[in-house]
Amino acid sequence: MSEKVISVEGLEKSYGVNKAVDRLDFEVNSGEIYGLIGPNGSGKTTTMEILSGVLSDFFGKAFIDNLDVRNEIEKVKEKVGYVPESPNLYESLTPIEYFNMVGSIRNIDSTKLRKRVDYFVDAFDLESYMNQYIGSLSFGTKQKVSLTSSFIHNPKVLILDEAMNGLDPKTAKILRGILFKFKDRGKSVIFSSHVLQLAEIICDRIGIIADGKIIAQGTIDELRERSHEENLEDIFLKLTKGEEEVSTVLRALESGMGDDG
Amino acid sequence: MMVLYKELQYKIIKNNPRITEEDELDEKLKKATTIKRKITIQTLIFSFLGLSLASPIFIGEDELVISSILVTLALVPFIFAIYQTTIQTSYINSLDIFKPLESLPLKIGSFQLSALLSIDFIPMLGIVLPTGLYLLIYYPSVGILAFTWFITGILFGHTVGLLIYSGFGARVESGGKTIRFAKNILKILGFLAFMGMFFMINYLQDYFIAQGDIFMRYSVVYPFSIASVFETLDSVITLSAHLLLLIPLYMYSSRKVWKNIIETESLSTREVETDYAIKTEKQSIALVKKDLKIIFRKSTMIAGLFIPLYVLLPQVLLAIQRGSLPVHQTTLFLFMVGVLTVATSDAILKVEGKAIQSLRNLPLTTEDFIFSKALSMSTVTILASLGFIMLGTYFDLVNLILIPYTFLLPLNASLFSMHYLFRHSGNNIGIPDINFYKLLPLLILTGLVFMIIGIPVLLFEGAVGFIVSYGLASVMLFLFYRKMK
Repeated sequence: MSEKVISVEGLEKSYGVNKAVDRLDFEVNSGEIYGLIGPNGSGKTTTMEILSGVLSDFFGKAFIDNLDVRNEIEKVKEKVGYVPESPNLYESLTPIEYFNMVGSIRNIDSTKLRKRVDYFVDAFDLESYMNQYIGSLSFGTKQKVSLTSSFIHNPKVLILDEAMNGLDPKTAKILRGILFKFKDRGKSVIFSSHVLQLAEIICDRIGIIADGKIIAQGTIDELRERSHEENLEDIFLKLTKGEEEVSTVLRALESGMGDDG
Repeated sequence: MMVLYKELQYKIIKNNPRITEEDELDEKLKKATTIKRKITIQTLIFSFLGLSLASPIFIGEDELVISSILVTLALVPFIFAIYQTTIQTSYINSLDIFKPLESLPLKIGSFQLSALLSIDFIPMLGIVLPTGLYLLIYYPSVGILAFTWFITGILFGHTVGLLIYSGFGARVESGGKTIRFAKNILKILGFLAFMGMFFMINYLQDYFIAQGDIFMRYSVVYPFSIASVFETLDSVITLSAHLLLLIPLYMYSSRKVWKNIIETESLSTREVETDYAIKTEKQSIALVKKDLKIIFRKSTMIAGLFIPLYVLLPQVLLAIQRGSLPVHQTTLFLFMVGVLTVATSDAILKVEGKAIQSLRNLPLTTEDFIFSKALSMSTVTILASLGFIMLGTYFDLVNLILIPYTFLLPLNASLFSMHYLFRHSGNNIGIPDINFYKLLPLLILTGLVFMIIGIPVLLFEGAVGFIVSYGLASVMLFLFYRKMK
């Protein structure tokens, strides 16, 4: 039986007068991949940063594996593997030096670290980059380094913010396989993406977020039923009232691109 | 330029662990981007400092006294410009401030860098302001010349900084492990030799004077050349020669720095090494190793880390020249280097750049992060102090008694500095907004801490004084450590 691993109640976070997250509620169970999708600036990244312990200043309640995210921040970080939208890594370290540093901070013993690093290096085809400076790697390879560093402590919860960004189709497919494996082992994943087809394939449940609020959530079938639309893109546009905006902009574009051409 | 400056301040404030509320960020950003206010306050602070440094000028009107004080003063903006250019350029670049400019048709974008840095350079002129104004009143032409020399000194220092940045450490080294290591060592030695060159000028000058060469009455190289201000024509010619050399050199170094900024970091040309060693260690050790690796690979940062060595170098030369190093002198030197551990905090904290964000999702407490920074800060001064004791022991074995100071002083300074710099930080790991100016009060406070440690040596004669002093330093170290943990 699945248990509740992530629980968010009345989560609020403001940046000045802008409310990034506004009384957000949702739960994620063990062995579940939960997709958080929403337009730009809807509060996805802020929510993920709060859950991963990166942002500590917020209102409301958030629990990861029964740990209070606000008060037990270090313990939460031990359970979570967080992949941010863009990899901010030490450019003058090599990937192996970076993994050794992360392993040391996470207190992983060398044998376990070796096993896990070997596994992900092999999966992401990182072997030939291990002794090169991170600064000299492509965005996609940096993303692979960031993914590996977030997986090496065998986290109970994975939080992936646009993690497929910059990955080639082969790596993206491998990552999907890894996520399914995580799920099969009873781990929980929160996943955000702008690629709605991908979210449709891999997520068990989806939460659609707009203006910092969850406006709809459920399995893809439940969302279809509710919106009377077939695919996630149409569901998304309908629920976020994006359809009208898209039509208006397209009509405006037809009358010219704003230049002489 | 204002856009870049605002962006830089925004990123610095964003990395500041003291700022947790967005309202606070807005307010801080507003304050930070008021350039006029910033320049005025900092100039005033340095003017007071300059006033105390130049006091002998106001007492006597001896041209020789004025000239020699001018040389000392001229060294300040020059060294400051080198320091600020090397450290700040690395930091600015690591924060990706120039990224949006890279795709724009800018011929030399690093002019923007010079403009950005000039906001920090201008207040440094405050230190020469009292002397300059005094000269303007009593010797108008000398005053104008002195000011022009000081400004030239800043340009010189800035150009040297740009050359160091482009030559020593804009890129991380490529090549195999051994080659990389050798290149890094060479870069460090090269850098030290480069800095040592300015001390050598002093000796060369004495040598030429001894030779009685009429053209070598005063050195032609800045900062010693400023001593020529009372011989207006000679000074103008020397100044023009400096500018003739400096302007093309500045243009060249600017181009080179910009090229380094817009090009990606070094692309490895060596054969691919697929072997890798896995090794985990204690958190703090792993973080210290990370700091030192980054600093030694991006060796412009070394300028900041090796600041205490600038003090060491003339002392070493002096000791060798004299052939003696008595205990009281070694003690004084150890205290000086110990206090200067504070100055390394700027470079040690700035190695993080935007990568600080990757530490925020790791189970690392702010206390552990700060502690590791304190350890990184004291590495160079501990090693330098040990080296100096070894030299002292060569001349006088009694110097061995001072070994405990080599650890106690730098660690006290670094732990105290971290307490001071992170005194308002919360749970978030970040980098406080520090710069050369903000380090001044910290230097004074650390000096006070060291005064307490040093008092027993003055009160009790012989070994007793040292033993009590070590005890006091150990207790203070323990208290700083306890407070941190």
